[in-house]
Amino acid sequence: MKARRRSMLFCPASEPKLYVNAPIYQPDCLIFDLEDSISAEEKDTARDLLCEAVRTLNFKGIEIFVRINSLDSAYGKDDVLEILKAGVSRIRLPMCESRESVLELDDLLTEVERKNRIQVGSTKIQCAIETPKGVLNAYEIVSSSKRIVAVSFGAEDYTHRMGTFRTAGAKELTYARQVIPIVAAAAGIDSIDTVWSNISDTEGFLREVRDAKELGFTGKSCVHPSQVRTVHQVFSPSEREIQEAMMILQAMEDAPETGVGVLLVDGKMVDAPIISKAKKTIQRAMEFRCEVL
Amino acid sequence: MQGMAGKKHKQDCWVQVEILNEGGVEIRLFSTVEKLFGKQIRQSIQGVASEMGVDHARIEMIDDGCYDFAIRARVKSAINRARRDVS
Repeated sequence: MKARRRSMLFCPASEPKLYVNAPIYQPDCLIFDLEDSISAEEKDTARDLLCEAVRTLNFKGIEIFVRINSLDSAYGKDDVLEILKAGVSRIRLPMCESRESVLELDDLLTEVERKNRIQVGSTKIQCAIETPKGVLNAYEIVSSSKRIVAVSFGAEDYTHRMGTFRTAGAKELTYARQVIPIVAAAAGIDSIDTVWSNISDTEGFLREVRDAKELGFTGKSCVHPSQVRTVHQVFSPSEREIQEAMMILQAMEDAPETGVGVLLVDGKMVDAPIISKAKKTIQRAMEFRCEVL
Repeated sequence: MQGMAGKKHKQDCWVQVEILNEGGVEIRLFSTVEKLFGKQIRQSIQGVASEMGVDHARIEMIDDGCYDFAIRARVKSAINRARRDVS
């Protein structure tokens, strides 16, 4: 079954209690961060903590990603070496701007997997696109390696590079947030929308999550556990969507065999793509155990 | 050669390791859960020291209910820092 990645909850890798507390909120994915949320003085201790946690704790089916430091930094290569030995198999690569940055990681992963008798190719990559150059090179990036399972968008660094700032209407992000889901869909991978940092503005967060779904993102990054439930509600089929899908599938079952590939359901034309979408809706509803079913 | 790691707050521990040339591994533990878990904590500290080939050291820990995986990680970090002589 395809992994579900509706929510990706960020946790700094430096805090012992977060490894135990974060899974309680049942995000689909946890991203333990070795990069921006960790000071230079504590990169080593955060990495040691992460490795011991991964070796020891049961994360109850939650997919664990690790945001490593850039491979250009003093820490990135050691991050990869140590976390793979500990059992991490999902890496978020920050600041992807070209296929070369992905291939550099791909080659390093192959080398480390071989040396440590880890199945070659088993470590997967989530590319983080966080710059204008990355957005322009998005399809080249996401199609550069078979290891890539998701692409995420980082608006904070993006707006900084653009010389602008985030607004309530997110106009400054329009192009990037349209391109990223398109290239992800073309590459057959998940697309994860950027974080919403204003934790107290829950209405604004809900608006942005709905926008993300409508734009075609398959999930959203979270910076606080309180955001996980909202993301799951929005990215799971709604009651209306489920009932529409059931109506379409029922109509398809009831329709006489005429050899015609089009039905009329509730005044709307329904053909193969819509029937396929209805089947996917029901499948996702069952997967996410939506209450309507 | 000395190294320190961790923090003195709830659900964490602070560790100081001084690597010596002789005398075995001496553990000084100050823990809020000494009575319940003191023995296991000392075993974890000794276990990490042995795994990392440290035969002679003074290891001091101030613990406030830290999880075992974090105890092991902090001791490992402190030993590595002692070897690099980072305070």
